[in-house]
Amino acid sequence: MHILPWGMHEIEDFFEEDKPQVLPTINHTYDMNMRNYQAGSDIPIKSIKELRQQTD
Amino acid sequence: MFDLKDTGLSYKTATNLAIYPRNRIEDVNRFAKLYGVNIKKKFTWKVNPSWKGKNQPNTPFPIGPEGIIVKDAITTFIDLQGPVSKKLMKDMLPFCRSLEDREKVAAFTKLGDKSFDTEVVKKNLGVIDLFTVLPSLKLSTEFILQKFPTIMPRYYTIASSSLAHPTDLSMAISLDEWKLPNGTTRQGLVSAFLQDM
Repeated sequence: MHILPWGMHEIEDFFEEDKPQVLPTINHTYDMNMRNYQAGSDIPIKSIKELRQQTD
Repeated sequence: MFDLKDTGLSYKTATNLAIYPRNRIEDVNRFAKLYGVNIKKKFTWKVNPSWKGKNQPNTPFPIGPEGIIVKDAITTFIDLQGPVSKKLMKDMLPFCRSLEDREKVAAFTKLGDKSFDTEVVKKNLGVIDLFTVLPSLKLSTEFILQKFPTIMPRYYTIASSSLAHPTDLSMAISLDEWKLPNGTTRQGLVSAFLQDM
């Protein structure tokens, strides 16, 4: 069986459907992908214009 | 069009906007049901004492000391439509319960064998579709969260003029849609994510 470097430490078994997700504060050095994720922010969408393009 | 007002962000025309999409909730639920994943669990990472590697790698994605619910972790970080690599296929061998699936994985990962290309790559199968080729696969949550591809940012060229519209950022994106051999329709992760907003 493949041994993985991390195990899961279960805190609790619960579920709150509407609980908003909070971005964690992390001090580790991550690769570019996750570092960028940490620096990301939610930007609201102002408007969407839907266009149809003939592709065939 | 994105509204940058009061976000503290600015942009320049023709530079890139990176988007981190999330999986659709229905896809996460379907995936969890297929693989028997308890998505209600809240967890943090702990070092696996059985792991004998030299240096402990970073956790696959960031989790604070407060932990994260498995459902949120899969929705936010695991690319359910992400590609299945031969390496991932090989790692999944012990999780195949039937001999038939084990033989299939052995063939997929055999040097020079073309079945992986024809059965997985050319059919555009992502990790969410693995059950269609390996129906006896039963994966552990630890494996999914550490071995499956994580969601990478997608970069889009900003189409609007930063001089004319400094707080309105526009980009043009088309809805990517394709059919799998079993008739299931799939949509691109980002375009579906934006469509749902």
